[in-house]
Parts: sequence; structure tokens; C-alpha cells
Amino acid sequence: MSNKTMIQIENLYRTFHHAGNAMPVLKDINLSIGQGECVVLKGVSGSGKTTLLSLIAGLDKPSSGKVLIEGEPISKLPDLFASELRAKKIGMIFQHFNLFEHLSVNENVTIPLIPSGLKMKEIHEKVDDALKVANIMHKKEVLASRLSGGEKQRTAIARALVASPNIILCDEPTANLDRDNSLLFIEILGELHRMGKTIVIATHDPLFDSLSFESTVIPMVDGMIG
Amino acid sequence: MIKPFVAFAVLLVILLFSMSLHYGLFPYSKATKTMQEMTALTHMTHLSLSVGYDESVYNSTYPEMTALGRMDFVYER
Amino acid sequence: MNANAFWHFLTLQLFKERSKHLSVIVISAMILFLLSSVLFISSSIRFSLEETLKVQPDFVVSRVQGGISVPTPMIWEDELIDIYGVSNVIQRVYGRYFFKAKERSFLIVGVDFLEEQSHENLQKLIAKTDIKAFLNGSKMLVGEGVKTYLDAHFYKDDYNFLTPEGTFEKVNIFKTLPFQSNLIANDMMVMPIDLARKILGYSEEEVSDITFNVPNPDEWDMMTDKVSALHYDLQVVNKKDVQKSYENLYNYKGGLFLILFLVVLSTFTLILYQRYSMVYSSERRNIGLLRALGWSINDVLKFKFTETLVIVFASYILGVFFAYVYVFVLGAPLLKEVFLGGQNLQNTLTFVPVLDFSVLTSIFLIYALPFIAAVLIPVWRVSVTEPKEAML
Repeated sequence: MSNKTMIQIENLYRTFHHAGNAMPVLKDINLSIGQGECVVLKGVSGSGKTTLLSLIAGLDKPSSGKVLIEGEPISKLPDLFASELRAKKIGMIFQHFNLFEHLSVNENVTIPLIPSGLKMKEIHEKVDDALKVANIMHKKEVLASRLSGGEKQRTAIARALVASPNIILCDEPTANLDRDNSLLFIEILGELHRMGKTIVIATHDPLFDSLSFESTVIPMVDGMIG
Repeated sequence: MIKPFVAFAVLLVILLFSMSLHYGLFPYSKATKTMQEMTALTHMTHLSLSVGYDESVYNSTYPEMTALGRMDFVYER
Repeated sequence: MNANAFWHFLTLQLFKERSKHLSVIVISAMILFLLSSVLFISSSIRFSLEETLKVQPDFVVSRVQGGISVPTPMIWEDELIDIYGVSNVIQRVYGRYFFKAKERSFLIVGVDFLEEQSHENLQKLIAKTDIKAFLNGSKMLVGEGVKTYLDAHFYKDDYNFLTPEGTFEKVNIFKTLPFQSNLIANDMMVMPIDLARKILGYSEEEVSDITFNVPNPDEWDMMTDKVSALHYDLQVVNKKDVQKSYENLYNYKGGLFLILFLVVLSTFTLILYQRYSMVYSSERRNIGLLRALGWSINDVLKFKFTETLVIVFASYILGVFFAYVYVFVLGAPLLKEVFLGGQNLQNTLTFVPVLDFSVLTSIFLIYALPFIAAVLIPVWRVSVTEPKEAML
């Protein structure tokens, strides 16, 4: 494994304001994740792991501190560059899959590549590759609304992989899956790990306590790394 | 572009084209000429409005002119 | 953004969510259809009238006594001819004949067929007309509406007029006037002037009114004063007054049109509100998701703008096309009655196609700009918030 730092988090704070009250969700987070590492952020609901993931993906802005993706401060970049960085370097897998239900598997996976400027032929090739890795090629033309939970999750994996990002962020990926599908998901994660992807998982699922591949479990308690 | 959309776009173009074709090929000269010939013969240009026969109130033939048989002006005096 | 991939996804989204867009397209197209139909009819009627007004006499003189229109003495014709600058003085005999049993009326117009010019005009209007046969005995030319009506009431070949003297005058139907003239001749019965006099009760020294032309338009005001001074009971109406009265009748900026515009605008406001609130509810999550998947604010705005433009163009083309077919091909059933009335004879006129491009452009802008704004403003507001918030 290379020692190149993929994600660098420095003095990160995130405070929400509600009805005049300040609610600190993340407090002084410092973290460095190298290329090919798999980090599991473990904690109960409300511990701040999803917020941390959103900040890493540039979906939210920190109250103070910074997040660097391959040395670029995603939280400080203008929208155009932040979006480009997100499109090229980060793949997201959500708890509720967040698929476009009226589109097919193939069409859902295509979406991240639309603004890329690639030609349709190249897009089709990339989509097929991602579908193969996520083991959902056989459901390519099926509507997302007709898929089972596991199939939806594998579609979401393919969508996260299609732009060949180096970083994969997973927010409670097994929360809506049964045990078999959860194990299948972990198996695919292992495959991604072997491909050298940097993986960050926010979860409270005990299945992630003892993964078959090398991983670091970071506990989170009340917005701090424990 | 997906095929159904192309078909839809082609349909819209056909609609526009057929409209333009009808507009372009309409025998305007014949229509206006007949109207002008009719006027030349009768010296009348009033509209053939399909209104009720009540000429005590208005002149249906020539709306800009005095109503035929209008007496209210006299009675009011 | 690659145009191919962009258009592929755009059209795919439009078709996959067609049920959502279809209702907007259908309602918008219906509004545009209604609006365009009304404007097409009014433009067409105005066009036809303007064309005919070109050959209409400049002035009409009639006798009005105590506010009542009475027969005009023919002797006035000679007085008018004597005025310098007046030309083409023509006497007219016309009047409405009331078919009391069915409460319908026809317009009887008398033409002096002994004049050479009238012969020529009749030949031009109805080719191969045998003038001798027409003038032999009591005969008349009838408009299409009159013909249809008389046929339906078993007056296939002739009609018995009741004269003011209480006698019947049987007049044969010689020919039907060309349908292209239905806008002005639908309820017309054209007959020799003496026959018209007899039926309408005019003496040989009387006419309905007298028309004349004044070729120099600068003299019109002066001529009105001069002619009005001839007799205390003489009324003069000039062509501009006639034009004005028709403009008022079919001006889309007033009366019935104003009500229609208000109805259309309020319906349209509802559509815009529906579109506006839809972005906040169902589109909010989608926009947030697109942003999370690497789409920039510009990408989202471009996508939504193009999507809205496609919807706007589709509804506009459909609305205008169906209005065109409805008015200029089908003759605007139902709506025609609003314009021409439906109490008397049925008019089956064909409207002359007139596309007023300034009106069409105005309709498009009135419709398209608020529609696009109603979508893009909320899309922009959702897009600029952090994607995480948009997905909540």
C-alpha cells in the first residue's frame, strides 16, 4: 500500500444552529486516511459519523477546520470545482440507496458521467464495467423500483464506481439490508479494497467489526473520535 | 436523444410543416377577390352577423348608423 | 457536458416522467389553444374586412328624421354629383326582411343590373351567368346561409315575399353566392333594384342611402361639413367610422377578450404555482441527489432550463397547431357563434388563415418567460443550498 494521503481532516468543527441554540455535532476532528485504506467510523445514531462523511464528500460546509481530498480543500472550493472533484474522486453509497426509481439500473449508473463530457460509447463501456464489478449486470435494464434491497445497493455501488473514483464513502450501507445481502456487500467492498480504493464507512452494524480484509475501526462518540 | 423523443420531435416538426404548408398554399387571392367582387356588386361591406332581429335597439346591418325605426328619442322629448 | 449524453439523459428523464409533464403540457396547450383560436378568428375577420373595406365607398349619406332612419330621396344624388371633388355616386336599396314564422331575417340588397358595371361585376363573381335569364322574371341570388335555411323549410326553388301592400311577390332562387363571400353575404338576397324596392316598400324616388367617393383624403373633413350642410336631416358616415366600429367589435384588447385573457391568466397562474411548488417538494430530493453525484449548480440549471424549454415549446406548438386546425380548417365550431352570433342564420364560413407573428410571439413570451422563471428560480434556490440539506 502507498502512503499517499487521500483524505486529510484538520481541526474540523461542525455546529448546527436551531432556534437560537448552537448544537455542536463534530468537535475537533483530526484524521488522515491513506490510499487503499479502509476506515470504519463506528458509533451510535447521533454520534456525528454521517455529518463527517458529508463534510468529506463536500456535501456540507464545516463551521471551522478543513477537509483536504488529495491535497485539495474541498470545503473551500467554489461549487464548480468542488462538483468536479466530487465527480472524479469520490463515489457515494447512501443508506437509502437514493436511486432514481423511474430509471433502469443502467440509466441510474449513467448519471454521474453525464456532466463528464464523455461520449456515449465511452459512457456505456464504463457503465458496463461498473455493473460487472457490482455484480448487477444481469439486471441492467430493470427499473430501480423493481429491484430488491440488495440489488438496489449493488446498483448504488456500481453508480459510485462508474467514474472510477479513488475514494468510496458509504453511509450506513447495510442498514436496509438483510444479513445475506450485507455479507454480499462486504464481499464487494473487499473486492474494491483489493482494487486499491480508499473506503470510508459510517456504520453501527457489528458485521463491520471483524472484516476479512485489513481495516481500521474508528469509534465516534458525541462528535469526537474516541 | 432517445427514440420516442425523436419521434415526438419529428411529429412536432410535421405539425409545424403542415401548418406552414396550409398557410402558404391557401388561395388568398381567390378568397379576398370574391369578397371584393361581392362588395363591388352590392356596395355593401357589413358583416353577416347572426344576430336577432331587433332593429328598434340597433341597426344590425350597419352598427355605426342609427337604428331603423328607433322612437325612444322622440318619446323622451 | 457532452451534448449527446446530456440530450440522451434529458429526453430519457422527460419520457420516464411523462405522466408528470403530460398534464402540464396538456393544460398549457389547451390554454394556448383557446387564446390562439380567439386571436386567429379576430385576426382573420379583421383581415377580411380590411380587404373588403378597400373597395368600400368613402362616404354613406342617409336621411334621419327625429332619430329615425327614413328613406333617402334620390334627388340628393344629383346634389352630391354637383359637389366638386365627389365621384362615383351610387344609390343603394337594402333592408332586412323578417321571416316572422321562424324569427329569422334576411338582408335584401337591390342592384341596378341595367348598369354595364353591374353586369361585369356579376360575371366576375359568378362565372358564366346568363344575365338575360337572370333578369327575365323575378329572380334572386342568395347567400349560402339563406339557401340552406330556405331548403330546410321547403323553399327549394323560390320564396314568397309579403310586400308592405299586403300582396305576395314570388321570387325564384337563381343561384347561390360563392361560399368565399359568406362573411358578408351569408344572409344576403341579391335582386334587381326595382324588385327590392317593391318588397321593402320604397317608392321609385327613394333609396336606403347614397354612397360616394372623395379621392383626396385631405378633403374628407371638409367634405363631411359640406355635405352635412346640404340638408338638416342628412347623416354622413365615412369609411373611417365604419373601420373604427369594426375594430371596436373585434379588438382583442377589450370586452369579451379581456375576460378571456383574465380566465387564461388565472389558469396559467395556477399552473405556474403547481410547477413552482413541485420543484420544492418532489424535485428537491432529485436536485440534491444530482449534486451529490457530482453535478455542478450550472449543470443542474442547464438541465432544468432545457427540460422546461422542451415542455414550453411542445405545449406552444401543440396549442397553436390545434388552434390553427380548429379555426382555419374546421371553421371554429362553437367559438364562431361567439363572434358572429348564432341567433339568426347558420354561417358556415371558412376563415382566411392569418398568422399575426407579433401576436404569436407575444403569446409565446407571455407564456414561456413566467413558466421558465417558475421552474428555474426554485431550482436555483434548491441547487445553491448544500446538497446534504437538499436531500433531507
